[in-house]
Amino acid sequence: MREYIRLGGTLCIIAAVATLLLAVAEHVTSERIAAIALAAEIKAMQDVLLGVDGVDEDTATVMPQEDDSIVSSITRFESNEGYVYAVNVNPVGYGGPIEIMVGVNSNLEVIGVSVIDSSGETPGLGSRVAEAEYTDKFIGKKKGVAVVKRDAGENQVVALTGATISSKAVGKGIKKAIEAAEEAMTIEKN
Amino acid sequence: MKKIDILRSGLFKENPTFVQLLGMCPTLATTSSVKNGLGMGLSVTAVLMCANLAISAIRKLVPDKIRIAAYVIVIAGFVTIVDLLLKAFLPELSKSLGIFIPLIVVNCVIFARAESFASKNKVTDSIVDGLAMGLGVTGALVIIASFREIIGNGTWFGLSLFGSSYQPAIMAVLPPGGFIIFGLILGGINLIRLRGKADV
Repeated sequence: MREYIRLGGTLCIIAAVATLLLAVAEHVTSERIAAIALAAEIKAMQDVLLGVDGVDEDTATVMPQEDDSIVSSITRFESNEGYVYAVNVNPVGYGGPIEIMVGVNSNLEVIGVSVIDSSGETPGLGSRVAEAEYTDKFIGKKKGVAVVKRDAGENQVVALTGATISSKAVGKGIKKAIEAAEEAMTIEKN
Repeated sequence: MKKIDILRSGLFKENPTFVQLLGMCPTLATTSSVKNGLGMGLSVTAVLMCANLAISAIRKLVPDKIRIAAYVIVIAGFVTIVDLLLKAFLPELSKSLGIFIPLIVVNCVIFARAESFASKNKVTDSIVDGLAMGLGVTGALVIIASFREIIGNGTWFGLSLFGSSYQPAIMAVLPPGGFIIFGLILGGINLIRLRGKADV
């Protein structure tokens, strides 16, 4: 019996010391980690709204949204061209969620796409969805945009060779972003 | 034990990656670029040194029956600290290494050193052993990653080597290419070791 108490007690002490050290590390790093995530999001918003004339950053308003596993936030800005929306979406790609910021104007057209995190995708293949060469193809696309393997129609984009799953995930995210912006507009009108 | 012998054994004679073949999963997964390989190697080195230090320091206080459980707590604690520090200060690297940093907890290189060295030796020797084994892993990862990145992407540490006309063999950065290149490197090393028989 005494043996068990000694073993358990020793483990308890080790665990307590480890917990203490972890608490200190968490305390030191938590603010920085939160700041880095926020900075990445703000940078992406600026990127996707770059082409819009006179975006007023002080008018950022977080819009209401329906529960959705893909859309994580919708932010509205006022500009000289009317309302514009920055929608953060997380569609599931080949190796986990891909985080994308999508800029949508009030005509529900895509005005900018910035891939924030595609680290789960295969390097050299799926990871290329983050490059402007691919994301720029979505600019000007409208509701119902789709990614196809070949012969893209008017509202379609051709997937990257060897990266169909990643390409389609990005397309799905952008499609959802447009729908989310539309939803936010209608909720507000009512 | 002489410090220099500990260093040599970690770097060459008992190199964890090339000789002991420990921790193969993260080895193959993080060597798709030199930057990732180096980051992973240095993270492993940091954890190894801290874990060896702590385990060696408490080796006489921890009863034999619960030593594995105690090691797990110590190692997991240090890995989590490294993970948090990377997230806060090197966010790019943390993103590209992803799940493989938390997985250092179950990396058998670290367990092997805790069990076979740190639990039996003085604190200073254990730290040197952690450094040696860690640098052994780092060197090995950088070598494998160099081959894979140059062949598979035409770059080294992100620097373009051959200009835009080079068509990279993407397979080298994918898992199958990783196995093949790792196998070829191991073969090459064994060939050299057998030729210089005295060192085997």
